[in-house]
Amino acid sequence: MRSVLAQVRAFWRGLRRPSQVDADMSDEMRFHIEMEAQRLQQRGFSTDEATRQATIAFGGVEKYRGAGRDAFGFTWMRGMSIDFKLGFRMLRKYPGLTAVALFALSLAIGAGAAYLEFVNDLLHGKLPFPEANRIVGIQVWDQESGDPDPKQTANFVAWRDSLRSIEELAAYRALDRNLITEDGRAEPVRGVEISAAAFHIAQVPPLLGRPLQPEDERIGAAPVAVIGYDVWTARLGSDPEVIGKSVRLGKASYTIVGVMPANFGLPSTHSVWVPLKVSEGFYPRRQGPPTRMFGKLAPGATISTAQAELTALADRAAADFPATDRLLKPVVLPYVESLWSAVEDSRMQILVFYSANAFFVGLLALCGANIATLVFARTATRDVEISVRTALGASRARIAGQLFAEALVLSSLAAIVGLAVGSFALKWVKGVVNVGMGQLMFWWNDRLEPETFLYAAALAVFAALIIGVTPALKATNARVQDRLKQSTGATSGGLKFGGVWTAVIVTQVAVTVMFLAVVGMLGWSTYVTKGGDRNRNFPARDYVALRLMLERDDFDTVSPDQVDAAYRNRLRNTYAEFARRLSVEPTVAGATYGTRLPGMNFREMFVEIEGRQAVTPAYGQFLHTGSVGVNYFETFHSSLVAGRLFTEADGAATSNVAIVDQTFVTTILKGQEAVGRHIREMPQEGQAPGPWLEIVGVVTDLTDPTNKRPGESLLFRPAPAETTVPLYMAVRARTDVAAVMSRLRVIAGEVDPSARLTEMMTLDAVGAADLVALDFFARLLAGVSMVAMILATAGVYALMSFTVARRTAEIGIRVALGANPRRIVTATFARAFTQVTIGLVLGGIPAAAIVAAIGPEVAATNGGEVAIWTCLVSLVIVAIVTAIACVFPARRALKIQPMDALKTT
Amino acid sequence: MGNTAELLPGTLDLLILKSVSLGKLHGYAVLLRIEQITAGALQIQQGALYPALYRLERQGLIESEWGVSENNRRAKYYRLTTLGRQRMRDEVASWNRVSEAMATALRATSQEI
Repeated sequence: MRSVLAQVRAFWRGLRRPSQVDADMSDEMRFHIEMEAQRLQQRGFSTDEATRQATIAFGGVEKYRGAGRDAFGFTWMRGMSIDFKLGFRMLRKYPGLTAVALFALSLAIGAGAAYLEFVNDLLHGKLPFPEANRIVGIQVWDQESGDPDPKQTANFVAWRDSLRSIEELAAYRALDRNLITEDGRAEPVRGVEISAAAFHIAQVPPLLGRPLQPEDERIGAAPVAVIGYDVWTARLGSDPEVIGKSVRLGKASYTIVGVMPANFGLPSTHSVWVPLKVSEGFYPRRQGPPTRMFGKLAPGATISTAQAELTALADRAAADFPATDRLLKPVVLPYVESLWSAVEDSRMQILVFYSANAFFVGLLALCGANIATLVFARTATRDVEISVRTALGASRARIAGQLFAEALVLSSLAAIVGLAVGSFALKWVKGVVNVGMGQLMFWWNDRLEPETFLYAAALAVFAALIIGVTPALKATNARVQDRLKQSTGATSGGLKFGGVWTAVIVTQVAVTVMFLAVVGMLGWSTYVTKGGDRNRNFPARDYVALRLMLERDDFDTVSPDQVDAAYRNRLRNTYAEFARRLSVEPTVAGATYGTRLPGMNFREMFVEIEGRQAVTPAYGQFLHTGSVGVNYFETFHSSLVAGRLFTEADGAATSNVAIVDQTFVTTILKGQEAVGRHIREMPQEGQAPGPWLEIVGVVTDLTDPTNKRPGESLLFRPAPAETTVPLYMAVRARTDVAAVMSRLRVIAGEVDPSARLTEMMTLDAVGAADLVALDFFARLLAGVSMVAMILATAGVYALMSFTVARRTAEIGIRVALGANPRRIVTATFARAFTQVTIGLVLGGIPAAAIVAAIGPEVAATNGGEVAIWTCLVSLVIVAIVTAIACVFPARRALKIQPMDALKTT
Repeated sequence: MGNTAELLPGTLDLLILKSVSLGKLHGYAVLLRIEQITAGALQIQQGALYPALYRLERQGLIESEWGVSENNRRAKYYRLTTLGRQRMRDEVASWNRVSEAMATALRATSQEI
């Protein structure tokens, strides 16, 4: 161990200051000679003679300094630094190869590193708190149901006081309320009722005022709230005098006692904190509000000691309260991990998330193998250099080391570019997630973690190994003597593109064909289908989309059924009043509601159509469905094609009527009469089928009907607002949409302070987040297929150039003997043509299979046709591109004159 | 120089270890110590000492630090490490075995065969 340490120390010293080590050596040797000279002087030699004798006795400072460097093990390091310099020079010398390799490698390394960073942030995010690694989450599992049981107030109270390995224990429950400011604006905020201990765990000082304190948790204590930075700035105008002012959360009023700094969102995305009031005996075991628990490990305690202690406590509780606690099992996990609910599942998920990295490693290996082909072709031009060096005694490892260093320079540059691009891509992805979730987890940041840099470095080394070492081993294994002979023109032989490279080229052509076909298909479906879905047949940007919810009284003094009934009752009244106020609002042209709005993903359903059993498959006809208000179609300017629209009577009670869109008629009924037909939902897993519904009307499609498949047809049922879950509303603005949005909040606040308007945006923005993600995926695939294409082209080009260079002499002689140039080209390139053709066939077959499988799914009625075309076009593109890659070397081959051939031999 | 002998390969390292085992020494003093303990019987090319010192240092058998020599000159001092002491013990034991075996072998007379 010590010897290793000593070696590392010596190595490190040499690495840091090789010149210093050299100077020290010289100094030490000079000292030796001086001492020897002194001794000789004492024996009667003159000063000059003593020095001369001493120097001779020493035997040459320079010689021993060299041996000293060897002994220190610095020589190879010096060699390395020369190799790296040479590596940079090579990059400049072959700009084409550098560009292709940089592009491909930086994409693969960047994507891999960015993905790891993303997954790490998602699964193992680091809380920006002091001693964050001591913060743990606690789940209590019900082994009977296989789910966590959140009603653990009784255990929380008991554990809070008794746990030794966890010094602070906090609990919280979501409090999704409207924050209503003095001007009457009611906007939803994400709040929590949370133990004061949470602030003690976080150790983040408030920006203003104080955090929650244990006294605030007492029953009967004055209601106080701590607000987040975003609420303070956006809703309260960054008022410096905000402490002591009151704010309403839904129906209740709170006094603001503190403001937390930005980037504090405990437990995850929250910005209002009020005390969680629980005390012993408040709730029976396994009853009470659903809460989550987290805590801070005591100094010296670990997750496993905490786990052991909790398990012991749970065992005791199981003995004391067998009726409720017998099957409960507490689990302690790192905080962020604990937010992933299911333990077994989450392990699986984590595994799946991380193993997806294999894709990027595979991509990198593929890119690396391709670039290795190019490097090998280039190495061939340095054949003589390598042979001579080998003959002069350079070891195989030394030459491999040189090529590795050159490759490492390339891959390291690519890693730097990749990390930069990856970090941009990450910001963008997180932006998308932000749009999708409304808020980011507060511990997410734009910095790349050290692990990510390490991973990128490891990927760079991996790539360099493939790129540098493989060609080096291939280049050095041929018999040097033969190659020396060859370099002097004595015989033919030398480097060859062997079986490995053939496999690489065939694979890359095949992969390119597959990628192109699949990407083409997906791109086409993204563009046409999704785009079509969102092209609404009405001016969507004039509509405000929002989701309406009321705060629930969910305390368990009454049964869940009673709570639901009361909720529905309130919702009916609130919606009715809200709609009435909107109808008299001058800026609003109309309002309606439904479980989904046009452009959203409607619920999927399998139906049976009366009298069409022969036509509909046994498992039913697939389509989409939604419950809507009776004025839904008028509001979206959908006109009646046949039959009638819904009436007030349809909407008030459960009536078995339905309206379908034109796509239903054209794709499912193939143009037959729809009105009067009966349709019902197919039975699902042991359930009874839905009631027969009578189609009473046909309306024009709400979104662009071009290219719609049968599954995209819509069936609407009427429903009153209170049974429409989720309740989405669309409000058409007469003038300025933004003004209507803020007006809506005021009206809602006046109608019912507990009415929460969430997901508010213009209707054309609805679904944009989904589309952005799809778009990103399509772009990533496009990038990857572009890389595959460029590499395939470059690989074929390298192969051709290599062949021409190798066979210059032969071609020249054949030209001299009067051979037909066409035949020469054919003969020379026969092997390459064969490889490309095999690649096309090998890639074409799976591509056709994949495209045929996904074709009907993503394309409309003409899925098969599109699949065939996609495949053919991909094949043709790859064939053309590889043909182009052959043109230049072919022209070069045709221009070879007998004289050139003689010169090269 | 009839009473001096060529150094056997591999023995310089052992001689250096032995020299520095008796106290910390600079390079030149190591040479003097070797001359002293071998009574000048072994010939060493003086410069060859240094690559050997660096090699031993890299192997962690000796360690070095800069100090001031008896004539107030900056000098690098070497000292045996625990690992070096261990190695020296092993080497000495093995050397003794070999030299005994050699001596026995060379003493053999025709009667003993």
